[in-house]
Amino acid sequence: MQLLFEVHKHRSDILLKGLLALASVALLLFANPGVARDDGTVNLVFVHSQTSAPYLNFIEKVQRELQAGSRFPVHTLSLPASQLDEERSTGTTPSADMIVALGKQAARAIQQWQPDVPVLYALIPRTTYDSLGKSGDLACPGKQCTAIYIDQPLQRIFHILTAAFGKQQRLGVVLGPASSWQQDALVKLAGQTGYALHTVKIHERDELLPALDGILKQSDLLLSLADPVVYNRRTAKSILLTTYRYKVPVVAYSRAYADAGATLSVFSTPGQIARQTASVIRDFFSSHEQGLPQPQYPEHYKIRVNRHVADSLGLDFENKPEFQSIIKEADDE
Amino acid sequence: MGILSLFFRVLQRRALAPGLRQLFAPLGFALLLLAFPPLASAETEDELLSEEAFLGDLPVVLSASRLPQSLANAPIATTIIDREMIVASGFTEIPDLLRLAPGFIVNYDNGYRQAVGYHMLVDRYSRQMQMLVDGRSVYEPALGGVAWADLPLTIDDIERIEVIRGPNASSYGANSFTSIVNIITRNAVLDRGLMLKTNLGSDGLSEGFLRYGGNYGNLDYRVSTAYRENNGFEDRHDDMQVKLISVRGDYQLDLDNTFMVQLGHNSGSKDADNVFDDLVPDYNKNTYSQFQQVKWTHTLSADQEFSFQFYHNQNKNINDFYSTPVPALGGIQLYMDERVTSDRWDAEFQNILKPLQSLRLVWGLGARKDEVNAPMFLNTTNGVDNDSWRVFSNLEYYLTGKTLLNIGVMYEDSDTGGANTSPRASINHHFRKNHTLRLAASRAYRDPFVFEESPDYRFPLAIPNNVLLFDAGNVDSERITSYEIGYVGNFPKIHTSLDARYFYDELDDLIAYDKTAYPLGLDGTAQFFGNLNNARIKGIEVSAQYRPGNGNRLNISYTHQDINGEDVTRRGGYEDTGPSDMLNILAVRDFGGGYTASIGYYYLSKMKELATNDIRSGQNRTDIRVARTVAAARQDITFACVVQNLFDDSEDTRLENNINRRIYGSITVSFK
Repeated sequence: MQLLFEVHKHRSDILLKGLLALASVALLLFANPGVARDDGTVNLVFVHSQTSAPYLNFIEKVQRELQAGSRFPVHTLSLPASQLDEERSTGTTPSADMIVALGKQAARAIQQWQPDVPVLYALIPRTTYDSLGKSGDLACPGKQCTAIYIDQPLQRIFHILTAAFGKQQRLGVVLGPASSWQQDALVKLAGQTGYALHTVKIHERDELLPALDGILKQSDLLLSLADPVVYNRRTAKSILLTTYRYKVPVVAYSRAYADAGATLSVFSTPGQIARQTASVIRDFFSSHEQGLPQPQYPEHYKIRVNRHVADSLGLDFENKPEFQSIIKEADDE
Repeated sequence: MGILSLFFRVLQRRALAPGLRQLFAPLGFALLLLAFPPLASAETEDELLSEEAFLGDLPVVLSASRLPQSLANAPIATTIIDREMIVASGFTEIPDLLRLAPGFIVNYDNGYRQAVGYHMLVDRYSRQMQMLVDGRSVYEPALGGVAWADLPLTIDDIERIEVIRGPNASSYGANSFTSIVNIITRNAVLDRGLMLKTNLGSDGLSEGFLRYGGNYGNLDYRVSTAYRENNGFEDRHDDMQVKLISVRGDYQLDLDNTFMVQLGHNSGSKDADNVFDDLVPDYNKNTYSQFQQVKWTHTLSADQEFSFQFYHNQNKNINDFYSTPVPALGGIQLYMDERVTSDRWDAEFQNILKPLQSLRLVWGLGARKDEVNAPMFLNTTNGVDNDSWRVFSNLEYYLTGKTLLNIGVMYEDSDTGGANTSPRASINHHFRKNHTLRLAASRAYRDPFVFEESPDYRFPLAIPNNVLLFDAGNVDSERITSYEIGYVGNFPKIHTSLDARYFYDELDDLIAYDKTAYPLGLDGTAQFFGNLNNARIKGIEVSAQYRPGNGNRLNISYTHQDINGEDVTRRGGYEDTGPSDMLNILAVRDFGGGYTASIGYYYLSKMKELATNDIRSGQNRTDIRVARTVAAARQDITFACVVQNLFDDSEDTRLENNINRRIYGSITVSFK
């Protein structure tokens, strides 16, 4: 386990990553399945969808949080989702007291694995978690599973919108297959905040630009909700250029969008979600009566404003004390 | 795909001259190939939303350098003419768009050749301003000025025009003298699908535009073609027909690298005359212009990038004709070979850095070669070169949270102008929220054009003393030193912004021609160019914009100025080269339901006529536009009716100062 931890520190080193994979396979092969919790040690298995910085940072952060604030020793093992499939085919699956699945691929891999311990899904969009659950593709042994979503609650977004842009705005939203479930909530929240809501639903990428043109003509603000048909790497440029041409600020859901040219983004960092994850794990293992909590949104988040874009759209956020205090609060967390 | 092949057939038949076809055939073929991808790349991956949408990177689309700087932070008074104003104005000629900026004079040499100046207009060539299209300098290296009708550019491809009202060589290069006009065309990604447009109206106005935009993977492309003709002025021989094509491709290689490629060609047939010279008959000439431009931008971060740009322009004015019979020479007709071909090659590297939170730095290097072939003007069949190189740097540094210091300098060395250093400095102090005071000083040079530097213009008769204009040597660059106190205010509650400034410009060593005794001269005298004039211009300029939203707006600009000239040549003083008062108003009303109406009013008080010393009276022009857009599922159709110079205000002078009242109708169909 020490080796694992060391290797995470040198995550940029591909060679070491290879060694890590080998080492974890070796560990799995020789692991003694009976040791869990006999000495109070908690065995956690992290399954990550990809082996890249956000996931590895997440795991490292959870480990640190648990080591710093738990009354029980924690052993962790981390596996890429792709490798878990291989393990399954060779019949060697790791033993664990809890599985933490990071992302969609990991969730799918664990479903194949069919574990018998609680599963905590993190870094997963709510719609994906719900869809997997509905279609029976979600591993939830003995109903012992929960999630910490990666996306933001709409209520939080509307609170930020009103603070940043004021009330009585005309809000445009382009919905796709993965985001249309939020339509009702949008209508309700728009009603509560006095926003005039214009939504349009598209089914494929070709419909995007006409839909966007239509919605921008009647909007002061565009709210981007993650949806692979609407917002992806290929459409980002057209969307940002088109909205900029209409002088309509875009409120998006990732740091990258704010850097690329959205006016502002509201998002939670993997680090913030990791802290929340550690806290859920700690609570679960500290009290034996308490089950896993309900799926939840991230408690903490960040707001990133693209100042260049805001300035050139003539937006003066400095002059919005409520918005400034929300940003400050989020940053202080 | 049927539309595409039809489009290329139309292209081949209508817009492409034979030579053009050769040039663009491979390109057209390549585009055709692109338009027929083997199969739409099927994205058959998991349809469920992945967390990668939240965690992944995206290419920086709106980087600091690509965004217009906030007007309150601009180092020099700047006006943006945006797409909405361009459409609402109803203008069909690109130079007319500059009437929308404060302090700009637009006058006519003939129906298709406009001269544009900021605060003053010395002659028919707009020599004293920088003219850029997407960072490509398009003023003529030979004689100066911009052949507006020859640009391979349609009004509909323009996204916005940035007008910098003052010298700014360190940001915009050589010739950024009294002002800079930077036309930004639309990114290809914004124009998807087919657009057809036709304008038909009085004075033989007949225009057809066809544009197709699409993408192939990460390549967004647009092809625009146009056919334009009109009869110009009633009593002038100035009919014109031009055909043009332009292609723009924006290619996103990966997250950090983008390439922009543009190509264009314009060929024209133009009637010509000369109201001042009886030797010049009514005749017809051909013009050709083309350009190629590539730009690679590498993004280092949201604030930092470097770019490399290369372009080539070529303009050909096939302007040769036989004179009217000369009685003094027994009625012979002289061959006047005023053909001019000019080429410009330019390469530039630029790096934008943000070493500190409060400091933004731009620096770069550039080199340019201008080559002019103009036998009649230079008395040589060889090309005459003007080579130059430059190094420039600009920095923006926040002295305090409220005070921005802008400093820039360009060092340039050219064959015609020698070595010059153009500095500028300004302080923008945001003394209250939304209220900015700007103090600025700037110096720039205007290098002599090739004809000014090495003229040898002779009467086309093989006699020894046939010189009309000779090279007297030692023509230096013109110099401007400009000072301003400006105020930029925003009043968000009343949706109004205000820009006001007091300016004082010192113009020295202005190039003009004079006559002197010269043994080889036709009558013992000949003309020469020299740094003969100085001028001082001071005045105030105010512009206000009211934009309550919903497509309604009101723009008003007013300039009052006082020009003092020291005029060595006594050929009509600089006092009269610009009007003392200028006013423009554009009002746009959106009635909803697709109906819009706009009215533009443009006024210049009396000034000197182009090419003579006659003083013409004030010029009033009122244009109105009424339009209706019908949006359907598959296409938008816009019907517009425009009346230009509604009150038919014009004065009977040799060179017209205003178009006749003109009405045209326009239909635009954009397929979604």
